Amino acid sequence: MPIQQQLNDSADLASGVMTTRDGARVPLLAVEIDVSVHDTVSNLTLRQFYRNGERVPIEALYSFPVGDLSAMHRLEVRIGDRLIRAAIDEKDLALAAYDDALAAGNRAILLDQDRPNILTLSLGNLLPGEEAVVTIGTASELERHGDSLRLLIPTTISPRYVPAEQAATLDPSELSDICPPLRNAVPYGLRLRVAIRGNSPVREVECVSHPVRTEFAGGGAVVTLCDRQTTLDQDVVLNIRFEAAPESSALVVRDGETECIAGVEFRPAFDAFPRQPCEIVFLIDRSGSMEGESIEQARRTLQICLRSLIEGDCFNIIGFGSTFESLFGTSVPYSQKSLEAATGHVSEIHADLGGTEMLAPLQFILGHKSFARRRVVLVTDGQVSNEDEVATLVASHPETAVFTFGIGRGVNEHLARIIARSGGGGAEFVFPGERIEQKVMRQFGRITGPTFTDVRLTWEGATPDLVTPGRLPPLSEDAVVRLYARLARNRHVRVTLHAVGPNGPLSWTQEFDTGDPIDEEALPALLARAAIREIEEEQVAQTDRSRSRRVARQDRLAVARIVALSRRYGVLSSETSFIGVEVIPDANPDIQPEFRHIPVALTRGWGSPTDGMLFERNYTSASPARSPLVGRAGLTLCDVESAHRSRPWADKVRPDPETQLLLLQLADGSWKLDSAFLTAVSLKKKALQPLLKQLAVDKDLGGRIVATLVALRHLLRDPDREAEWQFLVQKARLWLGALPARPPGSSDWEAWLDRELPMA
Amino acid sequence: MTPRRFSITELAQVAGISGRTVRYYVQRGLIPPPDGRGPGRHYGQEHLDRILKLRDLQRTGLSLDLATTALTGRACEPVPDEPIERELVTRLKLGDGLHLEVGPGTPVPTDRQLRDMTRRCRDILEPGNRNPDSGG
Repeated sequence: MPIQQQLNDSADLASGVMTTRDGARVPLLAVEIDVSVHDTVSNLTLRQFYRNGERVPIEALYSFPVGDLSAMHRLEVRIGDRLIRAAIDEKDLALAAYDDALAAGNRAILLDQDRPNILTLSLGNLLPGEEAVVTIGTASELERHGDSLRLLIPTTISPRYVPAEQAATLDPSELSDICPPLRNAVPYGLRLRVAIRGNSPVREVECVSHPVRTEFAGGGAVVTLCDRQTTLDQDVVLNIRFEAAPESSALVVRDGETECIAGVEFRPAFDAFPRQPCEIVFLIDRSGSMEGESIEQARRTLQICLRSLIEGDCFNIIGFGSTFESLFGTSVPYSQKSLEAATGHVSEIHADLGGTEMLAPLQFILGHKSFARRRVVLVTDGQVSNEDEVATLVASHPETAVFTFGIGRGVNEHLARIIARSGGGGAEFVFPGERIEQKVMRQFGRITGPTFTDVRLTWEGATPDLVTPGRLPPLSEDAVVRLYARLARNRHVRVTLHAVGPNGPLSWTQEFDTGDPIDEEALPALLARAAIREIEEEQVAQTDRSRSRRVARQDRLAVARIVALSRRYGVLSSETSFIGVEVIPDANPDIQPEFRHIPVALTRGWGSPTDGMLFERNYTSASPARSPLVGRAGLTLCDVESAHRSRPWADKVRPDPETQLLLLQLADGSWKLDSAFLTAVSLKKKALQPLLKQLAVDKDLGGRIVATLVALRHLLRDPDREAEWQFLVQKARLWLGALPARPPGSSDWEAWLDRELPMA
Repeated sequence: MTPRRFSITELAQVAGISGRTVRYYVQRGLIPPPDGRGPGRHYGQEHLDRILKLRDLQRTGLSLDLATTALTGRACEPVPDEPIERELVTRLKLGDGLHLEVGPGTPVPTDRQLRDMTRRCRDILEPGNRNPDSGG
């Protein structure tokens, strides 16, 4: 069937209107993504539709992003009635086969992994008038964020900053692939369909990035984009909740005749531990790419973080770009004075420091001796090309844990994750307009909570010949441990996760049988990808970084292990490529294809302030109950068609009353009874006078007591959001508990307020 | 003497670049595709020489576009289609080798201001040759 018919969208394609840099037509017509989510695993099929509308044969080259947790396990191209299936081969051999095929006038397709989240497809010798449909099959994991799952599908490659020393050594082709040509708009659009199913019914789906249509049926949900074709200029982000969050579980699938693969997930529960003081250095990306809504999100993130600190903590704020600036010479104790200085500083930070030199400020921080448990909180969109160098630096300082907030519409997910993995921390992602309080609190729980070390596994019933991850990082309070193991069949297996916490050793056990594995293609691909990623990251730490990764000498044994895994499971890696060749019987090697480098769209919000428009958040739920996923600034929409409107970002970021209140909390946890406070809680002072008169303390302290109680009531009035304010509430209650005065006629301050000032 | 023959991998190794960059040069017409017909296609000394020349030019700090022009006598790629930024400025000569550009919307300095500016510039640029009137 001709592509035009398959797309059924000929009017929208506009092919031939847009040209590549050398004036030729863009041969990519459209991109289609089909995702099937089952609990925490997704299978994604990516289709790219090409047509050569020129009079000469062409070679198309397209670099595009994929999710950082993706395993690419299938590549094929259909041209007319012929199907070319590509196979995995070593990178050099695959390239030689491709080069040879094109030189001979034949047809070939090649898929390379430039970064774990950037692929480059070369489609050679597409003859005049020919149409091709490229299909790429990938499997990936959905990340748990609290009790929801997050599906992130990147659609474009944001411009990256290449540090000067790397630019001098980077291989020209690598630079070209990770920084493809950019356009404000591209002629090819996106169609997306996500089918969601789980062991329990889907409760709600929120799309924070695009207007979508969600249909619930039979316990599952199907999400499609409202537009017939959507521009590929920002990530697609879905937050999914099931009626019952998927439990810790083990899934067993067949692997050949005698083996099976188990995917096991642990969600260990820990007792609450008192908060320990620490040193926290906030490292804020102030490079040009953060301009607009990203820097605004960074400011809000920081303001909430600052209020989550407690007396006893030390902190500092460092902004970086081409250079870096430190608010304090060295970390200072958290006090009202330092909080005020930081608050003023944060409200004034801008994306005005130029490039993205991330190494220098990290070296500065890590080079200083820390007097307490040191944590670095990096807030960035991650648009750099030297991910490996940064990760290696962080990994070489195990005494400091590094946590990341990935911000923006086209965040470099790989950078945010690899730094967090290397630094023993965690990563959170914030899409513009998304509510951030929950994420900040979750991250702060990890940052300030206890760390459980010496994490290991023991196996009974069967010993796996491959387990990934091989080395388990320290665990934090809300840790989810996912592992894949290759085991013999027909065994009863007992696997135990061990860790050592502040009160001694802990363990959690799961049992499962390997006698009746199911057939499923995602899990073997995920096992292979996870095992390969571990070896790749070990390689990164050992590689001579003064040379480009494409020409650097690699450890032969590590390469052989990657190639073997990649071949066995048909999964793409840094050392292998997918290659497929079709011999054209009457090929003419004298006519070489013209090269067409396909441009990608500039990430939305980049370039000019007027681009910074935002779709209304689109949220649909199986039940009419209000969703805790949706911020107050967002809309709860069931009429999804009406969601397709936009309004300026400035409206979106206006803080809600709780956030306004949060900004007024003092370092000791109390609030001051002043006009700003009264405005935030929409009260007149007159209404609080009877309370003030009852207190036998000085006027200022009385005002602070009453203000703190009223603030607590405001923060806790919505039970769905209680967890978001936990650190502020704890601080306030500690302050009240330490007061010399007691509430008149009551033993509890909050009960006294409820009695004297009943809720309206 | 038998002419040297390389596979794409061998050529990349000898030239100290990646195989993908050899392909990158072929795609952009910076080196010709491999020679010969049938399974015996190969790269040769001419390819290697060109790559080494390109690499040398790039090492001198030349961008790939300029290196291409230097090597082939033609521009690598046409001028990009981004709009050209134009701005009218007023250029004033303050003295030998010293010029001032005033952008739109900024008033042109008075003669007195220009003289003062020239003197200060000279003080900074030629500290050993101070104007006796500068008072410093």
